[in-house]
Amino acid sequence: MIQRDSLGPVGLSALGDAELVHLAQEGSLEAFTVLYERYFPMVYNRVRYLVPEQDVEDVVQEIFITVMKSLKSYRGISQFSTWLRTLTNRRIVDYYRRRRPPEEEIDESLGENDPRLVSEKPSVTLDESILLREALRSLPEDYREVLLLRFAEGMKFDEIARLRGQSLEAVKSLFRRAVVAIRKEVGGSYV
Amino acid sequence: MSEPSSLDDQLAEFTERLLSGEVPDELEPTMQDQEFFELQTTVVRLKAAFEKGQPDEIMARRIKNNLIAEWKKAGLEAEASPFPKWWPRRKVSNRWTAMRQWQFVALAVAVVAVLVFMASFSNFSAMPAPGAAEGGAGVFLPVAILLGLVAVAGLVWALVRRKR
Repeated sequence: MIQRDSLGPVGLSALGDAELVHLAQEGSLEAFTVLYERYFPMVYNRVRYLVPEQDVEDVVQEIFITVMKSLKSYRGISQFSTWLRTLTNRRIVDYYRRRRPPEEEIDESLGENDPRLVSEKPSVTLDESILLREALRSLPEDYREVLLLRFAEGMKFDEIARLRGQSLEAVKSLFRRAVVAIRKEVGGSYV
Repeated sequence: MSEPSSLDDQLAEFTERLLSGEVPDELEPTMQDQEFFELQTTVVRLKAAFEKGQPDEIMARRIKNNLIAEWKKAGLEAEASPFPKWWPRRKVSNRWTAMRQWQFVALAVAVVAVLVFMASFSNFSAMPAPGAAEGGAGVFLPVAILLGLVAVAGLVWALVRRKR
């Protein structure tokens, strides 16, 4: 049994997800904070490609509040990261369900040379980001997932195969079909 | 599905090399398969689109502070255990389990109280016997009533906790 009091934040960071979850379930805020710091980049990267920029922070925060409140019902049947990914995807679906129909995402007051219209990569404009987001959202879940895992989370194909319990060949095939699908989705104008 | 698997392999290999920086982002049109070239182009654009900066540290800190406040507001901190140190501790997996633990204690207290009450009542019935020690039932009865009240209070408290 891990003694919560004997571990500082540094010691806690060395623990695995299962131990941290257990401590957080017992009321350790420090353990929950370490989990947050560990998984913030994953959740953030996933959210920012699927949700308009102005709402990313709110959605990310809502996701972690949901994690906090649902933590006691997590029984460790699946890996914590898998559980968190599922929860993130659900909250994103909820976000779009709650949201009023088509809201204009490009602020019309922005001038042509407004820096907000140009991202850090000169070749990728805000329009393209919106196109990508809409295209990703409209893809079948499997396709969207493999693209997010590879590009947003930086997982290699063999890691994705292990995570999804599929063969490497199946994942590579899924990836190619996802690339074809997103290309079709946005037409020749973008990817 | 009808595509040759080699195209899957080629695209996966190209993607791995591109994302690890082995392949430049600018593709030169070649005489190779047009379909593969289009897929490569798509992957290059996806990489560019997904590369828009790192998570905002200020945002991360702000969310963390809000979460800490929310955690405290929700009263999720570990509560001081009402049980003695020798009490067998087990993992509390959810609120229902935690509540049942309290109910168990309250029930146990209630049972003990009833037993004490019954014992004292039988002593009280036997009081008129000549030569019996004085004060036996007189002590047991109020104690039993007090224990009963404590048990009832415990149960009420456990139920209030459940409703919260």
